[in-house]
Amino acid sequence: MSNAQNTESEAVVVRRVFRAPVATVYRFWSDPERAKRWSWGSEFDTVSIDLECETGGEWHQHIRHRTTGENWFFDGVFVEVVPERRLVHTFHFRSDRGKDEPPSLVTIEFLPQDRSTEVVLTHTRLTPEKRGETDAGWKDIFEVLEGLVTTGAA
Amino acid sequence: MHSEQRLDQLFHALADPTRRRILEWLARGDEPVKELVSRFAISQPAVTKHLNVLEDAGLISRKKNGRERRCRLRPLALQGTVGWVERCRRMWNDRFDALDAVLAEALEEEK
Repeated sequence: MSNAQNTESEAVVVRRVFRAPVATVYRFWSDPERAKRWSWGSEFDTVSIDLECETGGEWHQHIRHRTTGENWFFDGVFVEVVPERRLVHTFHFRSDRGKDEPPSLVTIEFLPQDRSTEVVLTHTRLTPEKRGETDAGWKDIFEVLEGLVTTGAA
Repeated sequence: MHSEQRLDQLFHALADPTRRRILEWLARGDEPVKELVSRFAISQPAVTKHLNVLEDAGLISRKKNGRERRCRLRPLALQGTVGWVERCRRMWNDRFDALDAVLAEALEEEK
């Protein structure tokens, strides 16, 4: 099933000011033990979180729907890690009931403001939705990754 | 006039949060009606009503496959965008809410 005719990338930007210093917010984002504590709300149980917050490091997350038992898996690779300032990672979702999305890219910026921290998260879909063509999606993302790594911030 | 009516139907269909959630689920792939019903804390007839509205608006189709009735999103340019963008925004907002609560707890512990 292919339902998007639009070939441009799409992006979602979500901003939030947290009432905690940047060091704390960043720790809760990058340390697996702390990241585990953010629940996925009432619908899901967190089964496992595994993350290596360094450039080239991987992250994996497994959650389970409380009523249907459906397992959701997320994974990706950190493309850029600037502690307490910026994280860029790939984002891939699939489930054990055959759902599989093309990979996308997430950029998280941590902006200190007095004792608070503004987090600006940009989630970009790099390819139009083409179910069953995830290989093409991976090829695209690797090209983008290569670009980011070679031109990336020193 | 015809296209105005279709737009009215479309926006009416999208104006309801349960119907938007149904679309979000279907954006991940086709699903049997039975399975869709199990995802929502409302009765099968209530889900059927929502599915009728979505079908009238041209957003989904239902097909009989043996004993099973399956739902799928209709191929329409709008859907790829609405489904993904909305799902994505909801996911991050939910996670930000959770982080906010956990941070408040952590700062309380430090005091």
